Amino acid sequence: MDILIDREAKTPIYMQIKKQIASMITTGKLSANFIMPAERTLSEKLHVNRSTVIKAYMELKAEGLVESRVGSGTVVLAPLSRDSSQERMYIPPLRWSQLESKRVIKSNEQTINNILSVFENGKVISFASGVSSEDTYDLELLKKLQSQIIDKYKEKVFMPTPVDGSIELKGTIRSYLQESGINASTKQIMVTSGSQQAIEFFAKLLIEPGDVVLVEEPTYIGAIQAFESYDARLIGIPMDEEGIRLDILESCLIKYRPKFIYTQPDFHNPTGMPMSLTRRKELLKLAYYYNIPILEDNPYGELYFSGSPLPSLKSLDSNDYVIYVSSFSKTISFSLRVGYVVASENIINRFIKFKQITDIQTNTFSQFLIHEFVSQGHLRPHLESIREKYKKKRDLMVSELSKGDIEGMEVFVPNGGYFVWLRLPNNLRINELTKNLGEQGVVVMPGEVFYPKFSIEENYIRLNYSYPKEKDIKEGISRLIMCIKKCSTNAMKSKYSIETDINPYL
Amino acid sequence: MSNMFARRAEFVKASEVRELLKLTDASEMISFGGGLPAVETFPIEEMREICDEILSENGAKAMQYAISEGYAGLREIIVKLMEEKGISVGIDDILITSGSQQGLDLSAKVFLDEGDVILCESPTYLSAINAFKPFYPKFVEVDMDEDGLIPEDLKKKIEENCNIKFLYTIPDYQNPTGRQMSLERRKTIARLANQYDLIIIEDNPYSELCFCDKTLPPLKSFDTEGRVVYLSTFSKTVCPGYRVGWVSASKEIINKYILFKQGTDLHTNIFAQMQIVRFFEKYDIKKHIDRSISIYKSRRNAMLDTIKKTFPKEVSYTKPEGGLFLWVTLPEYMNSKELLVKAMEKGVAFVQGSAFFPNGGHENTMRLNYSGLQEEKIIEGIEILGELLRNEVKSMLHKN
Repeated sequence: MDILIDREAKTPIYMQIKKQIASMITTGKLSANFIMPAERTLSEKLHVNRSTVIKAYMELKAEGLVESRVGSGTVVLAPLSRDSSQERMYIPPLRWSQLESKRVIKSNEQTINNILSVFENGKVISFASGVSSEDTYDLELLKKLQSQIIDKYKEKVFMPTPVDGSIELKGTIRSYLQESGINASTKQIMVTSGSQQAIEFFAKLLIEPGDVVLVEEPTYIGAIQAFESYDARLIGIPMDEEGIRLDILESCLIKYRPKFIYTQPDFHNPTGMPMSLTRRKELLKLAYYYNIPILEDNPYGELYFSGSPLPSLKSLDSNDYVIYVSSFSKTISFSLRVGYVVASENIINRFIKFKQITDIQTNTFSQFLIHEFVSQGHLRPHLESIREKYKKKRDLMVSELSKGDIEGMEVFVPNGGYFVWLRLPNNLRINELTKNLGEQGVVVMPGEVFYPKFSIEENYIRLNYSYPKEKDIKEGISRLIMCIKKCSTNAMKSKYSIETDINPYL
Repeated sequence: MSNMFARRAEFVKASEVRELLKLTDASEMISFGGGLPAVETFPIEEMREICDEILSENGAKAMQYAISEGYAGLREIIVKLMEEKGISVGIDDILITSGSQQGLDLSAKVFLDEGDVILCESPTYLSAINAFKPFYPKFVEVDMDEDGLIPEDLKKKIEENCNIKFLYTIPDYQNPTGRQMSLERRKTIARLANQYDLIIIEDNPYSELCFCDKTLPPLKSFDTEGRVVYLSTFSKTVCPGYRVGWVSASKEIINKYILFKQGTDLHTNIFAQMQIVRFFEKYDIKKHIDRSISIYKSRRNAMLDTIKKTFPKEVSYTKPEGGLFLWVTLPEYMNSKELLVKAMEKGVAFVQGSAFFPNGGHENTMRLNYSGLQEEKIIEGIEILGELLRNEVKSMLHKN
C-alpha cells in the first residue's frame, strides 16, 4: 500500500492519506475484507503522528468505506455497502481460530493440575475448583452405610464387580433415570470411573485423527483434553442466552461434517448457562437431519435453584442419537469416581471392551456405597440440602460482585450448578490479574482454558462458589474486585504501551 | 452408528478374560480361567475398622478431590516399598493409577504411534496385548525359557526391527507362564536397553507372591538411565476390587503419564487410596501377604501333584515358584480350544493359550489359575482334565 505524503501541500496530511486510500478502494486496488494496517504501523511507516492516521481512518469509516471489527482491526467493506439504497451485506466474521491447524502451540496443558495442586495449600481462597464444599457430607450417614455394606456384601466388597458395573448399582441408576424421563434397560447403562471416563471412551470409540468434534465455546476442559488426546479437531460454537448458537452450528455441520457434537445443556461448565427447551428440540432436529450423534454431558442437572429442571436431550430423543453421560461426583462424592453412561447396547458393548483394557472395573466399595445411598432414599433429601446451600453461596457471590460496580464487568448469574461466569473489562490483562490475585492468595480459572484454541477475544474468568466457605467468598471477592480495579487502572495508564514489539528469536 | 466407529474400536476383540469372568459366576463350573486372589485372604474386618476411622479422622476430605498424581500418603508408602526392592524414587516420580491395567493403557497412550514395534515375551499378558492393540502397533515376540526372556533372542529381534518403542515384560511369575526371569538376565537386559536405547515397561503385579525366598530385584533397580517404566498394583496383595496401582518412571516420562491420566479419569478414588494407606499403617502387610502366600502355595502344590498323577507324560508344564498361574504345553497335535469345549461339558474351564500370543498360533497351550479355587476343587478339576488328556493321547495312538 503506497501512500505519498506532500508535507508542503495545503491539504492536511490526514486528508491526503484518506483520499489515497479511498481511491484505492473505489478502483478495486484494495478489495473487500482487506485488513488495513494497524494505525500504529501505518503512522510509523509514513512518519506521521498516530493521531493523523486515526483521523484518516475515521473519515473512511464515516464514508462507509471501511469498518472496525473486534479482533481484526480496520477492514475494507464491500462496494455494495456504499449503495445506500440496499441493506449492507452481512459478512459473517471469519473465525480464524476455527481454521487454525492443530500445530498451533497450546501452552496451558498443566492448568488443571496446577489448580488442583492449590488444594494442598490450605490458606488459599480457591474459586478455581469444581468440587463440593466439605460441609455437604453427612459423615455419620456414610459411616453407617459403610458398616452396612460390609455386613451385607462381605467379601464381595473386595472382589471385582462385572466390568460394566455392579448389578445392584445399575438397577438403582435405572430407576433413578426413569424419574427424569430417561427409560433405559440395564443393558443400556454402564458404570464408569467418573463421567470423564465415559467421555474418554466415546472419544476413543469415534475419533480418527483429524475428525472434527463440535463443542460449545467455551466448554469443559476435561472434554477438550479427552478429544484432543485422540487427535480430534475441535470447532467451538458460540453460545447465547439460550445455549449453543444453532445458526452457526448448522453452518459448521455443513462445512466440517463433524463426527459428533458435545454439549452440556444444563448449567454448562464454565458459563452456568442452560439450554432452552426450544433450543434442545431444535438441536435434536439438526442432529437428525445431518445424521450426527450428540454426546450429552450432564453432571450438574440436579443442582437447580428454582423451578424444575428441563428435560434432558436424552429424554427427548427416541432415535438413539444421544449418548448420555452423568455422575454422582457433583452430588454425592467426587472422589469415589462413580459415573455412568446411557447408550444403545451396541455402544455399551464396545465401552465394556474399553473398560476391560482401561481399568477393568470401577472401585467396588464406591459402587456399593453409591448404590446404598441412592436406593435407601438418601439422595433426594441430600439434594435438597445441597441445593439450598449452593443457592445461598451463589447469592452471596453475586451480591458481593455487584458491590464492585466496575464498568465493563458483567456477571452471568446461573440458576444452578457450581459456577459464575464473569466478564471483565476489555482493557485488562488476565495474566496480570491472575498474578495479582495469586499474591493476594486467591485463585480463579482464567477463561481461555475453556476455549479449545485458547482463542478468546474477551476477558472472562470462571468463579466457583460451591467449594469456598461463605466468609471466604466475601473476603475473596473483595480481593478480586480490588485486583480488577488495580489492573484496570494500570491498563488505562499504559494504554499506549500495551502493544509491545515482538522480537525475532535468534 | 457402528459405521462411525474409529478403526481402533475394531481391534478390541471380545476378551477371553471377560467371557471367563462370566464363567466364574456360573457356580457349578470349576474355573481355572480367572486370575483372582483367594476370597479367604481379604481383610474384611480390618477394612471395616479402617473405613470408620478414615471418615472420623479425615472427614469430608475422603469424599472430595485428589490431585491426579494421587494421595501423597500412599505415594510415600510406595517410595518405601520400592526402596525395599532396591529402587530409589521420590514421591514425584510416582503416579497412582486405577489398577495396573490403567498403567498399561496410559503406556500405550504415552508411547505408541501407528506401526511402532512392541517387543514382548512369547507368550504375554492378554490384557496388555488388548491395551496396546487399539494403537496399531506391531508385536514382535521374544522367545523365553524357564529363566524368562532370552537375552540373545531379544538382541536379535532388536537388530532385526526398526521403530521399536519399548519392551514389555513381566519378570516375576509371569502371566501366563508363571516363570521368573533370572538375576543374570535382568542385568543383561538392562544393559541391552542402554546399548540399544530401548524403553522397558516392567509390569510387576506378582513379585510379592513368592513361595520361596527367591525374590529378585526388579529390572528397574538396574536402570541407570531412567528408561524403565515400572508398573505395579495392590490388587494382588490387598484386594482386587479397589483398583489401585501405580506407575513409576523418570520425571520426563511420568509427567506425560499424568497428563493422560487427567484426560482419562482425572484421578483415582481417594477413599480407596486412604484405605490402603491405613491398612499399611495399622497392620503388618507382610503378615497379610504371608497368609495369602501359604494359601496359594498349598493350592499350587495340589495342582502340581494332581497334574503329576493324572496328566499323560506327553504334556509339559511350568512349576511356578510364585504368582497365580501355571502354563501347560500339550503335544503339537492337540488343540486346547477343542479341549476347552470338551472340558466345559464336564464342568471345567481354563484359558486357551493362543490368546496370550499377540500374533496367534500355539493352539496346543493353556493357562491354569490355581489361586481362586479350594484344594479339593483343584484336585477334582485337574483329574477331569487329566482324564480328557489321557483319552486324547490314546485316540491319537489308536489312529496311528
